[in-house]
Amino acid sequence: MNSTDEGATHNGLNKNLIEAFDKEGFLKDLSLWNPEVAAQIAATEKIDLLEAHWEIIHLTRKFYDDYDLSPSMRVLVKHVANALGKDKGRSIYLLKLFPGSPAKLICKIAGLPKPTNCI
Amino acid sequence: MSATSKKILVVNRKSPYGGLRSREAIDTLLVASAYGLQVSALYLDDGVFQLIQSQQADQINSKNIARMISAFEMYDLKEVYVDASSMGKRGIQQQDFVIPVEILTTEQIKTLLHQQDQILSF
Amino acid sequence: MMILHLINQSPFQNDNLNTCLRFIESPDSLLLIENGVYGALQKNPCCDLLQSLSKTTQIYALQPDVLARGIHEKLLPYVKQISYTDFVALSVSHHAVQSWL
Repeated sequence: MNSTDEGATHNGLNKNLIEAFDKEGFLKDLSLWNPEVAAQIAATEKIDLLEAHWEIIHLTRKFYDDYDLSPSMRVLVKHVANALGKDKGRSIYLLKLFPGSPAKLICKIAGLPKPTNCI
Repeated sequence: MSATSKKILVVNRKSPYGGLRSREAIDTLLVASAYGLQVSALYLDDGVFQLIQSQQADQINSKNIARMISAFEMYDLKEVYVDASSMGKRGIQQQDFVIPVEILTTEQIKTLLHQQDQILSF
Repeated sequence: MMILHLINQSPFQNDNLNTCLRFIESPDSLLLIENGVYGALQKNPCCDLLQSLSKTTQIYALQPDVLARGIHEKLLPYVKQISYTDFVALSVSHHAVQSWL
C-alpha cells in the first residue's frame, strides 16, 4: 500500500487527474478512487500515508458504504472508538494523523464527498 | 447557544426519491444534532416510504435514503416518530423499517406538534 | 402553544389540507395562501371538515390571493380574509408555524 513514491509528483497531482477533482480538491467520481490516488491527494496535503492513516481511511470508507454519508468529526471519533478502541477514538489522535480539520481531510483522501454536516 | 435549547421537529411528508426534500431533511437533522440541538423527526403521509429498509437506490444512481436514516443513532438522533394512520393506509409495518421508531396516533402527534418551538417541513 | 397551520396548495390537487385537518386543533389557526385559497371555496373536497373546524378554530385566507383568483364571491362564510400585514401579525402571535408543503 506504500505507493507514495510513484504516485505523487512533488508539485501535486498528475495532470490527467486534475479534472477529476472539484475546486476544493474532493474527488468528483468516487469510483476513480484507489490507494494510489489516495496517496496523491495526501501528498498535496503534505501527509505521508502510513499504516495508522490507512486504518482510519478504510474505516471511513466503510462508514460511507454503510450509511451513504461522510461522517462529521464527532461521529467519526465515535465510529473509530467503536471499531479500534478508545485510544484511537479521540480527536487528538485523528488531529495528529490528519492535522487541521481531520474529518474533512480524511474524507478528501478517502475519495469521499465533503461532510455536509462539517462544523 | 443557550443552555435550554429549543425543541425542533423535522416533519417529513414526501417520498424518498421524488425530489431533494428527503435529502435536505436528513442534512437538517444531522446538522441540528451535531450542534447539540434538541431535534426529532416525524414521518407521515408519503414520508413513511423513506423508512423502507429494502431500498436499492443504486438502481437509479441515487444515494440510499434508508441507509442515511440508519446513521441517525450514530448521530445521537434517537427520537424518530411515525404516523400510524399513514402506515396503515400504505400497508407498511414496523418490520419494514430500517430503524426502530415510535409509532404515534393522531392525538399523540397533535401533542408532539404542540411541544415544539420550531417545526421544519420537508 | 398555538400553531399557525399554513396551506399553499389546492385541496383539488393533493392531500395537504386533508392531513392538516387531522392535526389542527383549538387554539391553532389555519391560514390559506397562494393556491391554498381554493380550500376556502364553498364546494371543495374538505368543506365538511372545515365546517366543523370553524366552530372552534379561526380560518383565514390571504385576500390578495383570493382576489387574484376571482373567487371572493364563492367563499365559505366563516373564512376571514386578511391582508399581508395581518399575515405577519399572525406569524408573530403564534408560537410555531407548520407549513403543509
